Amino acid sequence: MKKTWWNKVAAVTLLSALLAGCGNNGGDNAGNSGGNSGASNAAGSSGAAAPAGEKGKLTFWMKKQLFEDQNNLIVERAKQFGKENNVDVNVEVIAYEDFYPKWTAAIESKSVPDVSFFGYQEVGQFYGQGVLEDVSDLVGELESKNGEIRPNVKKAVTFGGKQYGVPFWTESQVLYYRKDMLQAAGYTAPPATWDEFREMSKKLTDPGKGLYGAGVGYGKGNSDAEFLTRGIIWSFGGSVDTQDGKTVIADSPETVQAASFIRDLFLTDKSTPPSAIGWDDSGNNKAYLSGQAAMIFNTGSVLATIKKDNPDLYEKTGIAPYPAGPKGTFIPGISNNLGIFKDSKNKDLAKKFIAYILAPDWYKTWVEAGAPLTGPIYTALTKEAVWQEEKNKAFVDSVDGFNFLGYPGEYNPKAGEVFNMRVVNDTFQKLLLESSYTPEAAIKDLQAKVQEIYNK
Amino acid sequence: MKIRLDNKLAYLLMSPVLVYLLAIMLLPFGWALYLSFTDKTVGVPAHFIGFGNYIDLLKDSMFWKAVKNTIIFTAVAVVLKSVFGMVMALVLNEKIIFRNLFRVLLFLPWTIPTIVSVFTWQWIYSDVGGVLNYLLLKINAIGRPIGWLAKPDLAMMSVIVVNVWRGIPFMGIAILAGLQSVSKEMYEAAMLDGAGAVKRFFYMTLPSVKEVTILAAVMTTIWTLNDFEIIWLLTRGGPDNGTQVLSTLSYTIGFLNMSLGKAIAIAIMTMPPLIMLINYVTKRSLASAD
Repeated sequence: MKKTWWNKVAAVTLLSALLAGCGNNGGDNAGNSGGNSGASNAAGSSGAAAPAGEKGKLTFWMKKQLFEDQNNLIVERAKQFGKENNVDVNVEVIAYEDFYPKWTAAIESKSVPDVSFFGYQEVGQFYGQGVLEDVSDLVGELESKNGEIRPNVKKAVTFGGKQYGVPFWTESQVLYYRKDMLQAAGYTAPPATWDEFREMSKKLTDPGKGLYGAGVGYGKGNSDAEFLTRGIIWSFGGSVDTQDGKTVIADSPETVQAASFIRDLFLTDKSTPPSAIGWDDSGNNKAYLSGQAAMIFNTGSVLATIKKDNPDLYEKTGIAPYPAGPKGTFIPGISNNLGIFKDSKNKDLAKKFIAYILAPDWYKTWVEAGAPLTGPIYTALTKEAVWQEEKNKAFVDSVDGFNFLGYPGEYNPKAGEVFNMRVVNDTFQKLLLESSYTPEAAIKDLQAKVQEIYNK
Repeated sequence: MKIRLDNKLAYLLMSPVLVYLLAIMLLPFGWALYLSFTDKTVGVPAHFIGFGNYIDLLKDSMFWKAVKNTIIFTAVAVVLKSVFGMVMALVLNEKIIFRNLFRVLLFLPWTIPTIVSVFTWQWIYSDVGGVLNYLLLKINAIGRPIGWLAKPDLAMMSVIVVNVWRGIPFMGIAILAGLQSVSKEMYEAAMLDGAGAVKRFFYMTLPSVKEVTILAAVMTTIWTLNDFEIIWLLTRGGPDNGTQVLSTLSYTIGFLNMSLGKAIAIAIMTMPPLIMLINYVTKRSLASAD
C-alpha cells in the first residue's frame, strides 16, 4: 500500500518534471485532471448517479474542435447531463497535441478521466497496453436504441470481437481541386486515377506564377501525409504493414511502384511547392487557401473554413474521392471515439454519459455543426439533407471505402505505433531529399524499420 | 549540550529545504534512474533490464544523429548568441539617440512567449506569403521561394536562427550589466594614450566583461542543450531527422511511443555534460562572490 502510494507520487512528479523539461504545458493540465478525477473517484464507485444530496463528479476529456460552436455545444450538453443526473461534470477541451502527455500522466498515476476522446490509433495502442475498458455492451445498446453504427467505423475499434471505444464521429480525406484552374488547363473532371493526378498536376504547375498542381507535403509530424501515402501505396497493391499481424510485407514491387510514383511527382515533375517536404498538417491548407496549390488532399476542415470565410474560393472548389490506383480506390479511414479507462471508478456513469452524448436528436445537431469535417456514425444520419449536398456527399460516402492502419491485416497496436512514430514520413522524406536514395532502397529500409516495431 | 541543541535547531530550520529536495528532486530523480534500467511503457508494469536501454541507444544510429545535431545546434547557437549579445551590449552602452527605446526593442524577443515567436517565425519562413522569401524575391536574391524548413541543413540553420534571435537579449543584458561597471575614466585615459577602438575593446572591454560573458555563455549552453519548443514547433525534428535533437527524440520515444524507460535513459545520458556545466557555473559564481 505504502509502496503504491510512493510509486504514484513519484510517477506523477517525474512525469510533471519531464513535461516541464519539455516546455509543454500539458503538465499543469495533467495535474488538474488528476485532482478532478481523484475527486470523482471519491464520490463513489457505484457507477450510477450519486445519491440525492451527494453530488457525484465525472471528468470528460474532449478534443478541441475546429469550430467553436461544437466546443460550446458539447460543454452545454455535459452540463445538462450533470443537472439531470446530479453530477458535477468537468469537461476539459484539449488540443490534440496535448493529449499524449496528459494520457501518459493519467495512466501512470491512475488518475484517469472517466470519459476520454481517442483517435482509433490510440484505442489500438491503449488496448494493447490493457488499459481500456471493453465497451461492447454500450455499443450494442446504442445500436439497438439508435440504429446501426457504420460498420467500417466500428471495425477500427474492434479487437478480438469486442469494442474498446465508442465511435463518435468520422473524418474523411478527399481530393480538393480548383475547378477554374482545371478548366483553364483543359480538364472537365477531377483526376480519377493517380496517373491522371500526376499528369494534371504537372500541367497545372507553373513555378513562375508560384502555382503547383499537387499540394502534397511531407513534414516530420504530418499526419495527413502518413494517411495519404498509405492510400497511394494500398491503391498500387502494396502495404506498409502485415497480412497476419507479424510478418511485414512492405518490401514488394507494388510498394516500390507507389514510392516511385510519389518520387516522380516531387522530383521528376516538380509538381509540389518547394517547401512541401517540411509542411506540417496545416501546410496543404495554407497552400490551397493562398492559391499556391490547385489540388490537395484534406478532411472537411478546409471546405468548412472557406465556406465561411472565402465564398468565392468555395464556389471554385470541387470535391472528389481519392483517385484510384491499379488496384482501385483506397481511402485511409479516420475515426474518432470515446472510451473509458479500466481505472475509471465511474464506469457505469461514464457509459451513461456517452449514451447521452450520442442520443441522435442532440448528436445530429452537434455533428452537423461541424459538417463536413465531422461525419455521423449512425448510418441513418448520413441520409440527412446536409450530407446529400454536392460538396458534402463525398465525405460520408468515403467512409464505405475506409481502410485502416495495418491494412491488409486487421488494425493492431503495432500498426498504430508505426503511424505514431511517423516511420513512413521519415522514409519518404529521405527518399525525396537524397537523389541517390532509390525507391527500392527506401522500401527495403521501410520494411526493416516496420519489422523492428512488429518484432518488439 | 548547547552545541547539540544548536544542531537540532539547525536541522529543524533546514528541514523544509531537505524535505523539498527529497520530495521534488531526489525521489523523482532516483525513480527516473530506476526506470531507465527498465522496459517501462505507459500502463504496463516495469521489468528490470539492466543497461538494456542504454545499450540499445548506443547501437541506434538515430541516437547518434540526435547527439550530433544537439552538439551542432548548441555550439553554433551559443557562439552566435555570445557574439551578437556582445555587439548588442556594446551598442546599447554607448550614448546613442533613443537608447532606452532601443534597449526595450532589443530585449523584446526574450519577453515574447516562445509559442508566439515560433509561430511568427513559421510565417516568416513560409513560402506562401512568408516575409523572408518575399524580401529575397523582391531584391532578386532568389529566383523562387525557398523551403527554409524543407531541407535538413537549411532547417537546422533556420531553427538555430530562431534560438539565437530569442537568446541574444539574455547575453546582451548580462554583458551590458558587466559593461556598466567598467570605469569611464579608464577609457578616457586609454584614448588620451592613443588606444584605438579595437585595442580598447580587446585590452580593456573584453577582460572587464570576460567573467560575466563566460558565465552567461555557460548558462545559455545549458538552456540551449535543453531547448525543445523551438525545434518541436518548427520542424518536429525533421526533415529526414535533420533537426532531431536529444530533447525531441526523448519526447517522441517517451510520449508518442510511450516507451518511458528508453526516453528517460536519453534524458539521463544528457545529464553528465549538464552537471559539469552547472558545477562550473556554481564554482565560478561562488568564486566571484568570494
